[in-house]
Amino acid sequence: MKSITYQHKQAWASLKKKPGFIVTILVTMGITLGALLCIATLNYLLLAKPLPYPDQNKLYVGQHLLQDPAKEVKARAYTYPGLVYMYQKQTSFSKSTIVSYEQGVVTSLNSQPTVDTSATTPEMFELMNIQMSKGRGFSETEGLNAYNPVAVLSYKGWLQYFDGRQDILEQKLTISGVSYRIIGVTSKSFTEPQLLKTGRETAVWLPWDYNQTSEAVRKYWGDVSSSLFFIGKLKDGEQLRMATQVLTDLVDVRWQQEGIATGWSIRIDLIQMKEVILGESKTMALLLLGGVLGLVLIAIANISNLFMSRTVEQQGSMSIHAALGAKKSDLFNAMFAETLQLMVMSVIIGLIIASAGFYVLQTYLIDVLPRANELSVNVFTLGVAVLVALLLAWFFAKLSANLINYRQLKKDLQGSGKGTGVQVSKTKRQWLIGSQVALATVLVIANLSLFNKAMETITTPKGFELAGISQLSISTATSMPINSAQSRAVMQEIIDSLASQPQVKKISQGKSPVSGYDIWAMKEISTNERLTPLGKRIDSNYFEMIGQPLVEGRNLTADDIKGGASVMVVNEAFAKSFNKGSPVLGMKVTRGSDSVIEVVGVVKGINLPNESDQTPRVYMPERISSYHLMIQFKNENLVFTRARIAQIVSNVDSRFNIFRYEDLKSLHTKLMFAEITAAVTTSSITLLVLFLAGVGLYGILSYNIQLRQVEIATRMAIGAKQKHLYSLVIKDSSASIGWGFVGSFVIFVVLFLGFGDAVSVYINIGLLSVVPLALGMIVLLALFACSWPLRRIIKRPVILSLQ
Amino acid sequence: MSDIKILLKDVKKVFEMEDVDTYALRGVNLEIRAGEYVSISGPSGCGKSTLLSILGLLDTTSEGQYFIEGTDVTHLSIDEAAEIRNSKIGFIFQSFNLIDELSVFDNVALPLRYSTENFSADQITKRVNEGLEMVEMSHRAGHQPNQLSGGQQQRIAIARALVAEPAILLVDEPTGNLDSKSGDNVMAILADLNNKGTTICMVTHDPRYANMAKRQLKLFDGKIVMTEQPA
Repeated sequence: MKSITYQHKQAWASLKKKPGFIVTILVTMGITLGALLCIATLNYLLLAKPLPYPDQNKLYVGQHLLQDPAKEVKARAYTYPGLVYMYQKQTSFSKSTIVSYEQGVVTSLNSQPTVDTSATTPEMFELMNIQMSKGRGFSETEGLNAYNPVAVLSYKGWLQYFDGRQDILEQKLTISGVSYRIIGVTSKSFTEPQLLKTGRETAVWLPWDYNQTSEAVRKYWGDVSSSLFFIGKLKDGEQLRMATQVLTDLVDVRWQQEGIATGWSIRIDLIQMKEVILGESKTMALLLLGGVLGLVLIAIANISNLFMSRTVEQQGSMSIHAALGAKKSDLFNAMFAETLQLMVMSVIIGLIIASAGFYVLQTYLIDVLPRANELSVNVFTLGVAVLVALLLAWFFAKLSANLINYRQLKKDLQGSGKGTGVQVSKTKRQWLIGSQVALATVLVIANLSLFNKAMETITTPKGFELAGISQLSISTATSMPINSAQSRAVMQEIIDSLASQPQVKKISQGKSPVSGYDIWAMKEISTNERLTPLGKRIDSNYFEMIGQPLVEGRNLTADDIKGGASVMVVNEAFAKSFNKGSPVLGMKVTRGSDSVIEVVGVVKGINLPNESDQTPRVYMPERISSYHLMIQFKNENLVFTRARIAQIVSNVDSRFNIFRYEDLKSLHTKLMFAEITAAVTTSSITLLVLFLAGVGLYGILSYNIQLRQVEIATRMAIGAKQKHLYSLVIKDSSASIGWGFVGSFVIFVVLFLGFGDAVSVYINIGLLSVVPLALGMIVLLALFACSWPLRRIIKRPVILSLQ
Repeated sequence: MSDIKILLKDVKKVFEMEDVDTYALRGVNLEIRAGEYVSISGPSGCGKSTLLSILGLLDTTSEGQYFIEGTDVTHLSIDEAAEIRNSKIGFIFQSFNLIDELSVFDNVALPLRYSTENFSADQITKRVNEGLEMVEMSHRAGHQPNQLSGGQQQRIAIARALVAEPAILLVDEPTGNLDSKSGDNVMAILADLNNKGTTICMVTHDPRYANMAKRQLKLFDGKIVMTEQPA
């Protein structure tokens, strides 16, 4: 024990003399190990850690698939009655629940916030084992058709909207005019399964009866909604395939009785809840891990080089130790003490950086990374940290120790001290250069490819204007039903009031192009073909306001809107895909009723992030009672605040309030969040990789040149000019760099052959477009790394290098 | 045309340390004419290696002027200095400084490859073979330097120094790493070369070899203190 303490004291004393060496290692390893610990923990969470629910492997989400006669899936969403029917009639699950994910304005609070709500049945509390920090969850008295207006707050919602007040139970909460009695607050530790969207957190749980679906849709088997979910715990001994078949038969038979579409059918798929929550994120997590491991390998190569250089530097003192009787194992232990201290410090910095990484992921990527809210430094993180510190310390010490020619070391002290006891072999140096180049090339190509993809989406012309336009959605703050005529009158008054403001240029009734579309099921009358384009309701100002040009036929008119005409405008993609060469104008379709809708115009397509520009879209007249408006301002810098809009609306009718008010630019930017994040992340990683590779290559090549100093000086003495020397050094390194490029190609091939499905999105022919740029970057970097250390030799008197 | 190959006028060299300036040369004046064989000797630290470095453009002067064949070479760029070293100066080092990765032939050919005269392959072969013949090492042309003895390596270094037909041969302790027999051989070659007209300036601290020169300079504390010309 004494000797270990002594060794560590000696190691620290020796390290202290080299602050630059310590800082370089701590910065390089601290950053990369921080990234490794952060991403490794994320991978553990996504790939290995069970969901925090009892019997989580028996929890399934039922998916409701709408299939055309060719059994091709046309929609993955429930009809309202179909979902309730399945919940009531199913026999395959020991317990099941249904949930409708919604939003509502809490009008009982002064700030009138729009909050995420979930309408569900009492079984949700049992299936998810929701612990309560106050009160209770839903019980049978809040079951289906009980119509008991109570609410349960999430812990976060309680803190955020009610300041964590202790007397919260029995308080009232009003959403959409309904007053709910608060009966409980969920515990802080409860993590909700995010089924609808990653990052969505319910603030208020309501009984199923109070979901916002209209009475008409509750009975109609033709409309589907992607906000409806079914969750069940499979009975013990129940076969998944059997359960799927039983549920499919159950729902399909009932759906067929409605006669919605001939030849079409319903299929129920059961997906493990974990799969639904994680979605495609597993691949993303693995790719991140691959990227970070690449960084770590580059960093290890760099640091290996530094440790080897240090060993070369220390050969004098090692010779003395050897002469005084130190065995090879003693020299190894001394090195291990140094490497261990440095790796422990690096890992501590890494843990701090990983914690910061968790914060960044939770703050900025909560909508992209499932389970991000569960990220924290845990036993797994600490275990990996300890393991990595020990392994790396051992590896670096072993690598350095292997350089020592122990016999030669002892001779060094007796001889001229020319220093052959410690040397990095030429093969090892070439291998280091090649591996650095290979890893850096793979990472740079992969990152540039992802960066390109993201930038393509970000920079693709949208096909419409959004500057100076805001989206306003209005909701009612009363439980008293407002009939259609009343709504029409109030909305007209609100439109007039807004239009009369001098700052306002134009008003359009309907949702904006970036507010999402619905899937509309249609049937072409002449061929009976079923169509499922994306649909949106608009008014006569819509296309002009957003600058989406008409290419054929006519626009919707004010009379179409007023009379609710059965006409529609389609985009070019619709015309191309559904009418197969025939003129689309005059084409007639139906939508689940006898009313015949005629195509009267064709508009150019628009590009929305993550959607193909070939997406068929249709536009029908908006209802004049619609609560959705677009406001175009004369000056995009002088738009109204939410408070100003709220004032205008409440001046017209105090029963109406603002549900959402946001400018289209922000909405569009939010749609591109994933691409913007990808662009920023990949460009940062590319720079980091280039930096690390630069440091590494510089280190190795600098060492190379240091070894060849006398040779280079001799060449200078006999007349070599700068160009001769630069070309000599570059030529000597180019073979290793070339092998590095070949190595990167091999890595890509191995990745493609080994993980073809997972990486085909990233490794494909498209990579070729970024290869020249990536190779160019690496070559420039290598040229710099070659020439900079040589420059030092060239610039000083030749005689100094000859000595 | 003047036959002065080397002319130093009041050359000083100062090494600036952290807190003290050290004078290695304190105003050296030197003239070496064509065909001369000059030896420079003196105690350790007297400045003889510094003087040879300045003569070989391996280092620069702090003060004074330096001319080679009448051209002022005191202030040259890196590449200009390299060109002069290549065309006007031949070096022979104590530790031979052959390049291990190159064959004997390629080591000797190196100055020609760096020359601005663009020698053809045939010209290079001819010149290298002549040089190797002169030092009786033709049979070792394909060998690597580490396959040769010290004396043989120094002979190759002599061939390399002469292959570009320099104005002057600068020799730094040529026998320092050789046994006496090899050292005598190398000195015989140098004497022979001088007899055939090669101008030589040699640094040595071995009085036996210094006496072989036609003019002996003694350096002390950065100054030439004595010039001896054997009868």
